[in-house]
Amino acid sequence: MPAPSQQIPKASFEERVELVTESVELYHKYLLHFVFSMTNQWQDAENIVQELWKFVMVYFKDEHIKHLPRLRLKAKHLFIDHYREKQRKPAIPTDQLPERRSTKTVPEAYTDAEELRLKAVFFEQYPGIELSDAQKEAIWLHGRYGFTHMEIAEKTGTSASTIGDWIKLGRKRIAEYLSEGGK
Amino acid sequence: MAERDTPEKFPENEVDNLIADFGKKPEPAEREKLREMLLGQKDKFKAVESALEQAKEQDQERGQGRGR
Repeated sequence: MPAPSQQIPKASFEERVELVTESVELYHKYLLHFVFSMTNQWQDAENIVQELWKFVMVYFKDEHIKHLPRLRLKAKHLFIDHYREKQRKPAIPTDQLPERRSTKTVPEAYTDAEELRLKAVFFEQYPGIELSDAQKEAIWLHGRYGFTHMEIAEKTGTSASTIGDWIKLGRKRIAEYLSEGGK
Repeated sequence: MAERDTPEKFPENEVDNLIADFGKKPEPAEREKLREMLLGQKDKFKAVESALEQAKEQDQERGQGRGR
């Protein structure tokens, strides 16, 4: 049972189902790939992410339901618990998580309008972040579709080295924002 | 079992993956399954909610006791 000092969720059960569903739509695939990078087994990864959403539904404070760093941390804890419980060794030690590449979005997978909306929704998660529209575009083209610096330079008319700097800056600012708890 | 409060630092090398996967909805069948699973948490949610309310009341009673 939770500690007495924990807040009582303000949203009703039905409202929480909606909030968690929105969070699932934003982050489920990312979290699944993140857990898979640790398990190397889809079935285990799927089970762990399902456990995550159940936990979020019951225990997360309302304002944390869409909070990615907390979701990610909880997924990692569930991954550790999962292997501890089964007394099985994970595919890799938990302190040596490899860099991974998730499958990039094929440009045709979503309509242009959907992609534009998702890009807007993505950057809405980081209000006040200091990135220009051109910098956001470069980060999105690279992260979303896997375009190289040179390809983005050709598309946007900016030099490839500047694009590289922007992408680096964008990663840093987004990671910092998430690390600071999404103020 | 409470939510832990201090998320770790978000790695910069994960940002590209986050962008690549952002907003990619699960397949309709999987979405439906997840939704059913969330709805199935109602009893557990209610039990936790009532345990928290009870704990809050006890805290308040203790506070009033000390005030006297």
